[in-house]
Amino acid sequence: MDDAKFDGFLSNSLKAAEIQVKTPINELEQIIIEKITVNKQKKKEKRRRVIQVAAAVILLIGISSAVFFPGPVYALKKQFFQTILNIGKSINISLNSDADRIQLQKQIAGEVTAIQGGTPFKILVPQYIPPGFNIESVKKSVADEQPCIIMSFTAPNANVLFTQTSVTDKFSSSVNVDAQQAKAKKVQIDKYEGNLITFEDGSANLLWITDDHLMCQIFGDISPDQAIEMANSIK
Amino acid sequence: MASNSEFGDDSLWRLAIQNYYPRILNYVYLLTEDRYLAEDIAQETFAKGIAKFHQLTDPDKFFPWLLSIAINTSRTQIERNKRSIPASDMKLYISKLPVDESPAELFERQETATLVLEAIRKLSHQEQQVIIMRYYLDMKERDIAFALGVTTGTVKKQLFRARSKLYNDLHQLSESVGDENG
Repeated sequence: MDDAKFDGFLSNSLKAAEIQVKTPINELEQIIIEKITVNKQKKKEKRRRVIQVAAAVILLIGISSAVFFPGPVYALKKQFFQTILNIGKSINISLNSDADRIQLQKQIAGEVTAIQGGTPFKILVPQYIPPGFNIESVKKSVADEQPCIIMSFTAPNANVLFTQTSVTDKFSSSVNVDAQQAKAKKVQIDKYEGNLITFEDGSANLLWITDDHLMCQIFGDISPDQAIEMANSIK
Repeated sequence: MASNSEFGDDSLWRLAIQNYYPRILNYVYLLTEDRYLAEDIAQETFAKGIAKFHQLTDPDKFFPWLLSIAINTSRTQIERNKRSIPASDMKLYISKLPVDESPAELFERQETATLVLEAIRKLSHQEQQVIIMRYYLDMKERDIAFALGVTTGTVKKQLFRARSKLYNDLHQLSESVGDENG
């Protein structure tokens, strides 16, 4: 048998083993659409988890670094900030830009009520949410020894986290910032002094500690003014 | 897909599903011998293809590109579903029958297909892939290389090696089939 005949034999044999499509095209399209939806949800959930874990790590570093590692860890912390900011920028979630503010507050209140029970401090809620942002989730971090609440807000291509962590009364924190890529300044948040870091790309990180020993932090794709306004609106 | 304008031109995707879904389905089926797994992977391939369509740079490579998604999806799905139907059961699914074929001819054709698939099953996974792409999907070597993410030279070598092994295993069978047909 020559090469061409053997090739033909292989080809015919494989084609004889072919199975037929039994599913009608409309049904197939529907299945594929459903799979696309499921894949999107999985992707979104995965990214959200990454952000929350990264946020928890930042807080842990922020807390432990003040005690154990005075200097070098801050560079790592900044790197985590950047990671989170970058993740936030790559998120593409479509939200209704005309979201009803009252409805949004109700939604946040509902989520807060659901986890307030097991939390040893009163969960703070910002009354001002920057335009275009919607609540993504309110979660209690189980990764840290210190109770930590993470509120995640999203807008198309943007992400902001508001975290609150219970700290001891001896807790102190400091942040070293690369002056070429970010600027830091003291700002007034209600009666507290806060540290505002503005990054070159327009994102910001605002950190302050309340009299109730809560370390609060707002960071992500948010302007400095919006971060301060959000912080001042917290009740 | 009329309800999902985000997928671009719906009619084109419908056409793509009509033309390429059976080929992707059978490619995976010939590798896994599992109809249900093959259906799942083929559907997942299109779901991913629609979502990643903007990444396709050369429209002429649409099918090899889609096939590369199927290959990657198969890799993870097959690991997850370590299940297979013995090749001997495959004849149950063979359903493409020429209308003028007698029951005896049909039986013989099924037996031949089963023996060929058993021989293919002895090859390495990569060799099985190139054989199915070349002889079932009638793909050119450069398109096979694109789908597998390897060079054309690698495909040539693998095809040569795989075909030689199959020839050793099957040339007597192919001669007898050739004699009967000829």
